[in-house]
Amino acid sequence: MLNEKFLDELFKPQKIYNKDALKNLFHDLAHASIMRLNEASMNKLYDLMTMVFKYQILAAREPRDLILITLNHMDAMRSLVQTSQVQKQLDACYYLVMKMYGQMTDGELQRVRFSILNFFQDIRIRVSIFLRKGVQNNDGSFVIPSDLTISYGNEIPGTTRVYQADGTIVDLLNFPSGGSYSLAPESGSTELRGRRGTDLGVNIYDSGKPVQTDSDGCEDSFDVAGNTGYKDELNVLIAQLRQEQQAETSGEDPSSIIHFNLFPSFDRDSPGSELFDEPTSSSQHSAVLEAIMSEMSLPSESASGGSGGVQSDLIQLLDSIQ
Amino acid sequence: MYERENTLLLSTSASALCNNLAVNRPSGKSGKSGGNATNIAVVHQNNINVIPVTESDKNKPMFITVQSNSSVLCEVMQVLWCDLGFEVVLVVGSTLGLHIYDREGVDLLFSHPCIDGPEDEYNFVKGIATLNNEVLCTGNSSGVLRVFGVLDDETCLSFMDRKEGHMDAITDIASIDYRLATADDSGVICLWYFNGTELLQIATIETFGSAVTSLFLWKDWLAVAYGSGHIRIFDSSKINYTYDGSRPVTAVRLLTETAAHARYITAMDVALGADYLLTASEDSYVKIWRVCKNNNVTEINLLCSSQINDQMLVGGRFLNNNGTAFCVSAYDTNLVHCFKT
Repeated sequence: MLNEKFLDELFKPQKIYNKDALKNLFHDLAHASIMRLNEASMNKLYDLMTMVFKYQILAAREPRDLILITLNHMDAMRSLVQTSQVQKQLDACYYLVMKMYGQMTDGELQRVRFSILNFFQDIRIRVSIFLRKGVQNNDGSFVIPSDLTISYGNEIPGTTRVYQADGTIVDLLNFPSGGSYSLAPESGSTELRGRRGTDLGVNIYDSGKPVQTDSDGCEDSFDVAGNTGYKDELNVLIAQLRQEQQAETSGEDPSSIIHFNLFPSFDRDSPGSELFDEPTSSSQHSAVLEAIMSEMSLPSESASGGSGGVQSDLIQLLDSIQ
Repeated sequence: MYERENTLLLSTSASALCNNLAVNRPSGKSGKSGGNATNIAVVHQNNINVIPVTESDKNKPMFITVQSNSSVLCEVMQVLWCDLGFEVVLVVGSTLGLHIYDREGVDLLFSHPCIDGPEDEYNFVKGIATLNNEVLCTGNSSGVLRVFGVLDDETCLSFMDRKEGHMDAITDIASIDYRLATADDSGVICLWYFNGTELLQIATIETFGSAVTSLFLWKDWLAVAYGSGHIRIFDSSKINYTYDGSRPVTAVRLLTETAAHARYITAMDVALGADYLLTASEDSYVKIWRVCKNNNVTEINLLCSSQINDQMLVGGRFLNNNGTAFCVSAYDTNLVHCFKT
């Protein structure tokens, strides 16, 4: 995933992927590890992933949070992997992200944010952890709390300054803002290692404890305890996926808490669904990406084609490319 | 003050897009309806939902799909009903360029690519305004303005001028008489005067850090909504003089600055008959303000604040010129909520 060629291709200006292609990409990525998922589980994992991402983008305080959310993802990857080669690839990826998005204006990042939101438009799958935490409503929409945090350097609503001709303030007017807002204590850092200042983009199964993102804590945090912690989280996730699968196969009440509505936009045979058809202009581009993907997953395919019992993980795969 | 009235149903949900709600609000002098909205339009990706405001209206819901002959995807960026020539037309800015439809959105009358960037990159038309109902001005993703004139008695347009003034993509354009204000992604505002053949830049307002999402020119005011949640009102009376060849140095004066919303202000509208300002935001609030002048000092006061629970608002418009009714649209839902005094 952090392969240089893959990243170069990924960062080239291109049209937004259609949903099928994106799903296939993540299917291949998931199966590049030791994880084996059947179609139903893969669908659920993908739905969970897309809904969590949609929430992160929707809940961003300001467009610049997109960068911080991305960096939170990358910080988590960094703390999971110790191989120096992968750490170097993460550094390279960081510079690509900052080069591409670090210089964008507020409005440009907002357009990126809106594009992502429009990609996930009309996808409203209920996610149990969000429902439990009170972040999501039963209709699949997300809660907008009245105690929003205002981004650092901005101003809490409720005041009007009135200026006179010489530019000095002549009066202050106050009004009820409607919410109980608070100001973010500090600006999220976009340094290679820094405090991101937002929980969006960190592990949602990490039961409420803040993820260590400060410079010295980053590498130390990956100890034995942390290791089992991740294992537990993975087990919870797998158990959850299995459970849902069982419930489905055993024909239990489909209206149980987690109701996955799989991409209604796909099934719909309306002209609107053509929106997501692959544009011919970018098919060439995605063909290049697919070629690189197949190159990356080659060992896995040959392995599964051979005995089926041999499983290679992502690290081995990446090593074999080098 | 305002109470929740009815809810209008769109056939598809509203996309995340600033000012994603347009109203066909015939100016009081021309139509019998006296400035009451007849239709609203909301964008869903490359489709435009046009629905009547009241059920008794004879006009039927319309669904306009903007697309090219090739399979290139299109995103609609802005929809606006404008008085142009002797007609009301539906002007659409998209990633395919500028399109002008008749009032009902049935016939495509005119289109222009308005492209300045490389053809294979992301280009779009955003920012639509008319000058005295005679001239149409549009902006695009390269920060370039284009002016089109109406040919006599026809809705057919002819190209008049092209001006580069912005370094970033245009977000919105406001106009009054022959004055024009344009804003961009970085938050810079340019003020222009149209002398009949050419757009002349007369002043610039520097950025306050965040993008300008909407702006409005009326009376002596320029009201601007920012991504930071601020509303700023500037004095626009000084930009009404003719151009004498030298670049004027008049600074545009800031009159009021309001920390209005906790998130991006996604939409703004003005009820010209009452000096009411409407702002809608991602923080789920729609707020109505009154702008007034006391002893030569401009003030802005909050009249009403309504929350649409858990809805990221993306559009809001008054339904008449007196500001006694308004409606708002929100991302990812097909409901348009109407309010009335």
